[in-house]
Amino acid sequence: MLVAALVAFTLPAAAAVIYLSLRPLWAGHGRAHAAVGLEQTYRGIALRAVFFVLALQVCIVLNLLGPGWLRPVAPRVVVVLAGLFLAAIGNALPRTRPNLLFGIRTARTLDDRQLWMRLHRAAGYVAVIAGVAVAMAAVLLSKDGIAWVVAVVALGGTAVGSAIYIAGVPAIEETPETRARRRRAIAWWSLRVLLAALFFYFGLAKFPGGPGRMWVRLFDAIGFGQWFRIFTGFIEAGGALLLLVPQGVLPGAAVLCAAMVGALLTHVLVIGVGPATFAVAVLLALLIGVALASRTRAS
Amino acid sequence: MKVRAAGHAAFAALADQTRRDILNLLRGGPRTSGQIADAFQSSWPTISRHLAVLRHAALVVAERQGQEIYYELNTSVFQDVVRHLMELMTPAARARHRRPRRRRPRHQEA
Repeated sequence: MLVAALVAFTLPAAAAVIYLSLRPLWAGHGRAHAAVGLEQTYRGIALRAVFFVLALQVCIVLNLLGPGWLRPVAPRVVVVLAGLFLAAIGNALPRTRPNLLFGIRTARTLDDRQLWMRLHRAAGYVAVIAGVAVAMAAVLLSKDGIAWVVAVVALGGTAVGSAIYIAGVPAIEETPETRARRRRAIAWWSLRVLLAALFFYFGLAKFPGGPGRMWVRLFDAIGFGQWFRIFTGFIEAGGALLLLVPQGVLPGAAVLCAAMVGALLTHVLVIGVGPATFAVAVLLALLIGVALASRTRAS
Repeated sequence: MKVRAAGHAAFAALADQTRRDILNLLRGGPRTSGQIADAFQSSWPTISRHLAVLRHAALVVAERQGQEIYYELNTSVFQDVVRHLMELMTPAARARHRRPRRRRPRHQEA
């Protein structure tokens, strides 16, 4: 019942957040000469997002409180809704223009209005096809069939989308300087994504309770109580997410450094030094490197 | 109510060969009204009227850049599909109609 109450309040809150965050798109933040007709597009997209969340909400509430025959159907309805939502968004994609919030916003597309329009028209076709395929699969196929279609659509859509982007964006002139900068950017992002994935996993792994679990026993040995396990989990998962945000790299790395210092202390004082200690030390060194690098990089 | 009116306007706007040809031309990128008129044999007031209908249905948007007003394609995916289906359904009308002189529209402007 707690879950039901949570769901009943989080989804409308999410809808409100979506609506409010998309509002600046049409609330006069655009350029002074922005063409008439574009506000309509952005308002349409925001309303679709809100409608989708509210429809999900209705589904979930009905599933919890409604008649029994609804229960087996509800998952299908949710997938149909998701497919239709994807198609509806895709339908509107060609009408978007470079803007503050929504779309494939890279430095190139924001700079080049025509490139933006070409890419979003193509992306719109892909999204509509994918959405219709998912919705139809959810109506017609068995559960396994739906899973297959969703997987194929997700992989295929990503592949086609990337291909369109790579083919559509004209190549920049390669100079030794741009090549070096691109390599640095790739290395920087790979390191951050790798560390974020690792720590997000470490954080989540600490949440499940239960007497036999490794983390539960470890935090018993530490002696602060089990709340500290949950706290550490939050710190690690949250720090991991921070690493992915440009402005969050330094605080994220700092928080994770603190967690790793704690882990080192635990190894030395509680469980004893072993091969795992070495891994913790390497992670700490990488985090310190990221923290130092984030101060010199503007990204 | 407003949405239904807009949808109706879009269908009405798409039900004309010249307007569909204008949309097709705009797939290659934004054009000024002068450039659009040059691509067709119809008179300038006719093209201007067609552009007004398209603009009213929000199938194109007019974007001012300095002195010039550029027309940009603003169709949704669904409207593109409808346009395509209309092309397929009316081959006779297409043959009867004066074909526009297409000057390779793609990648003309930077």
